[in-house]
Amino acid sequence: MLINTGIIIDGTDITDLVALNGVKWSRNDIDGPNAGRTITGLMVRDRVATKIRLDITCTILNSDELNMLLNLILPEFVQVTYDDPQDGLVTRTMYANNNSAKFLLSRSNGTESWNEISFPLVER
Amino acid sequence: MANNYMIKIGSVSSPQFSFSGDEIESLIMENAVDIIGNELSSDIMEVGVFHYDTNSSLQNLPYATTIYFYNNENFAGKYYVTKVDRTARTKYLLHCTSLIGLIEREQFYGNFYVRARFEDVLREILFSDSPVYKNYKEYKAECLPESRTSSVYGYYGVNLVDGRNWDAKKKRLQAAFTFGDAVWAGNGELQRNGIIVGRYDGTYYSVRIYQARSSTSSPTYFSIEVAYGASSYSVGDATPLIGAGSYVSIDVNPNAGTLQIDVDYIKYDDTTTTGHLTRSETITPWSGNSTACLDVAFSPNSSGTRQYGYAHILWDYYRVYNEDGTLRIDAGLAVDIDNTRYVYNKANGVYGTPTRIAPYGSELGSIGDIKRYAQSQELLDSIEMDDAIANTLINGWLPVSTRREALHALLFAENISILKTQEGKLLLTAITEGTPITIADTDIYDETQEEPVSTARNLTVTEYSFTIPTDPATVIYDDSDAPAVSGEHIALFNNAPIYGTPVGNGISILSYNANAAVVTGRGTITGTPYISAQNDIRYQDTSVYDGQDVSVGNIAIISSLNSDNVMNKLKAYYCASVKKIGIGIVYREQRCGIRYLFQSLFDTTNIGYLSKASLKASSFIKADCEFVSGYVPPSSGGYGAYQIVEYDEEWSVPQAVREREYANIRLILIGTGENGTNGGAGQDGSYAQEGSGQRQGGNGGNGGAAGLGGAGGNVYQITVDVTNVAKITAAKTGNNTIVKTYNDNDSVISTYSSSSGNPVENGITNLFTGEIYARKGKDGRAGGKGGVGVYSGDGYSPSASNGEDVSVPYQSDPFKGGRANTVNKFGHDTAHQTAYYSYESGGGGAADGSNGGVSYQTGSTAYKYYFAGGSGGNAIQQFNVYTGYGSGGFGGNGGGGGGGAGVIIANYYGSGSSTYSTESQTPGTGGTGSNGTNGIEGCLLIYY
Repeated sequence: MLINTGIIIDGTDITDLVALNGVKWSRNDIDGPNAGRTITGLMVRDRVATKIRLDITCTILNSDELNMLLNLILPEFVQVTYDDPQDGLVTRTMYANNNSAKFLLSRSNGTESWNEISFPLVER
Repeated sequence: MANNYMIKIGSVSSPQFSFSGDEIESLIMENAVDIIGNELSSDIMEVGVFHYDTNSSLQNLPYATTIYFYNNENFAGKYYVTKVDRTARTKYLLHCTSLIGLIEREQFYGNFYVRARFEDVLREILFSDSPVYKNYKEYKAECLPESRTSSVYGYYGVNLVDGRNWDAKKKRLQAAFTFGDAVWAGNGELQRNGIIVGRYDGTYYSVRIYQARSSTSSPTYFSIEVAYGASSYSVGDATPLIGAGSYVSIDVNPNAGTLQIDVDYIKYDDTTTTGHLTRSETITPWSGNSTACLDVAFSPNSSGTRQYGYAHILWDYYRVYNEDGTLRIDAGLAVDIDNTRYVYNKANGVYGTPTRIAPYGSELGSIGDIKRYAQSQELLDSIEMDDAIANTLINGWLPVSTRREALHALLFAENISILKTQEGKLLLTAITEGTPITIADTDIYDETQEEPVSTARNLTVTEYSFTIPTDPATVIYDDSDAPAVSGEHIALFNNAPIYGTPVGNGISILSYNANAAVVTGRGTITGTPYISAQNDIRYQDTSVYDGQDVSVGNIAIISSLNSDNVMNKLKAYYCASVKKIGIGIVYREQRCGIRYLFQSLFDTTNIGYLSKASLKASSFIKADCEFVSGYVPPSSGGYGAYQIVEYDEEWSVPQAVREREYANIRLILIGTGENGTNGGAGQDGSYAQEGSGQRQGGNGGNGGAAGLGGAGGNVYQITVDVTNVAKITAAKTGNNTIVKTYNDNDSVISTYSSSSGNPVENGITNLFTGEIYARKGKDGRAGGKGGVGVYSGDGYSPSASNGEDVSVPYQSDPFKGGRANTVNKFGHDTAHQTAYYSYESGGGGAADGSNGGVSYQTGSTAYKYYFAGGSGGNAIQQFNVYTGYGSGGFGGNGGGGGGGAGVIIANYYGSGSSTYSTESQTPGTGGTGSNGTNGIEGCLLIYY
């Protein structure tokens, strides 16, 4: 996904931390228990809500960058501003309920690098 | 939950809590109307909500707190909280029920009803608090001592409003407004120079500009603009206000947001000033419970003194308005006591008068009254019925039970169901056929369940009849051995229902009905139970071989007026091809008890009554429904009119009756009553035994035997379908009543005779008039025995006796037996050395109608005095006899017995020793008995 205006989490622009093709946008329908087909064969949907999910993959980050990012997405909910393919520039309340990173290397100057850093941003 | 649902708790206009949209986690409802009436269904709702305010717990909601449910902003149901579960830190599950569920466990003391209106019986079931039905009234304002804080009151003038009573508003306002030289005082009042110019009444903000002085030559102009959110409102541009106290006002109803009020005023007076006032304030909706007004008056208690206590203020309101130049105040509040009930109060009065309202009105005397009043108002506002149902006559008995059981019995007997209107009110109505409403195929899920209703071969409905007792009063309550008790308590009568007035012995009866009394103290109560009888009406569907037997046998409010309609209902349900069809539909406010047309997987088309709907809310509501198909309901109530057909008369069946869906009428054939037998004549008194050594007087004659009352005419009841019956005739053969039905061609269809029935000792009652027919006549009264002539015990005692008295119910004094006087007279025949002792004879016995004769002297010689026994009284024929059709004649009364003869004892002492001999006096003759009365001719009584 091409990011035109970047991704801003609670006022912090993290666009530079995102890898190329590092944003996966998806729409998820939350279906309720009342869905079913009628006697005419018609599908009756029970879409309770439609939620947007962004799966973010980052570039290789050093420890400071990663620390900043992890703290940024730590709150229960965060305000995420991004360019939505459907709605344009939007700010949504989202949450990141899990994230992962792989330790890559430790340099002689003491800096550490991490890669395969990913986390979801799920609309509340 | 993405939805358009809303839950308001406590109040619509000022809800204590409100939940909508994402605050509602789950919502299910179970609605039902039992088509046949086997049970009185109560709707339930369970709603899960997120409540983030940890300072207030929903678990503190009082039992029966009102909950209003909205779907797409449409009011969709009113429920009452029965239980609150806290399922997580911020999640609660509210268990709610409908009104019927509220009355499930409440005691009802029942009553006996004679031609009572359905609506009155209903009120009694729902609202009575004791064995006495109280006509609850709305509370009026009352003035309490200044030293006591009541609920809401106000003064107009310097002390404009007592701040204490506006504390409740502070939370709603959240902040004080400053408005130029006008001030939001934080108590709901916008004041300027001590004059109210604005007000917040809990729902609306009102801005009012008062003119302080009256001048037609220099009027005052005001312009007011109020902005709330994107809306703005204005009023009063260049409008002159004339007269002190006049005002212009504008009301807005903010929920949350910024309220801005601008006031431009131009005041043409001596100083001609203009001005502009502006004030903006963020409005936070108030929620939670007020802590104001903790003192409420409990007044008066049963001893007439006031009591004070604490209660929890649920809501209150206060409104001042101008009515024809006079400022008036409306105020009200609701509190709960012991977390059980709401208490409402309203007041209206002239503003400026120290008017207070108290939750306990002076007209009603107890907390129970208050609670009941509050609940009755709630119920009355929620029930609808048409006049025909309201005026249906109710006869019979409701025993002590729960309110729900009593209501169920009443509704079942009258074939009335409780439906809900679109507005959520309870609609008492008969289920009717009407044009079915179609449910779109695209709303019906592809799931169908069908189940036939089990058919019945034998149906039985027991109808009850009650007649006024003739027996003497008996003990119907006895707690004389129980420990002493103070205060009022309830005494439940044995052998209820009781006719007339119960009488306490050592126990004080404060109030009573047919089943129970409110009493103080311990002791016994006597009363006279109604005479009850039961009659089973039966129906057998011979086409069913292995069906169930269905009986309705324990509802004493079922009488001969409505039993046939109950049977119609049973037949329509159990003896027809009725089936239950279960389908799921997209819920579009379908209501239980309404007839719908729909497709199912099994049939092309079905028509049925929606009897159950289990609703589950998600993005929309799905309803799992049960329909009853194939049922043709009878109308409500029972027979609404009666007709007497005497012998050799005929009655044309009204066409409207013949065209009913269930064209039943009840024929009650009443035969002619038998005559009473004659009373016997009284016997003559006997002569004394004569001869040497005898001293015995004659015995009094026995009174005549009582005649026997005649049996009432035979009573035979039958229910007839008159679809093809044009007229009905009645005739007499012997004592039997012969009834024939004729078709439109004047040919006899059927013939019935009262000989098929039996006598009913206590008769039957015409339920429309209260007249009693076919009672057995009363027996006559036996005559009194005549008195005995002189007794021989010691030979000389003057001991002849009086005749017997005969007591009668129609006068306080009995008819008296004749007196013997016990006079003895002495004569001495010295020539023959003989002394004579002459004794009186006995008095005659009395009879119903006359006293017995007295013993009297008939003559004398030089030595002897002759006394005759008193004659027995002659009986008269009984009067106040039964006159109802088919009544038996009364027996004749017996005549009184004649008095026994006295004696004249001769004592010959000439030979030095005494020799006695006895000569009899004349005994009295017996009185005549009276004839029995004739039985009354029978008739045909028709209920239709």
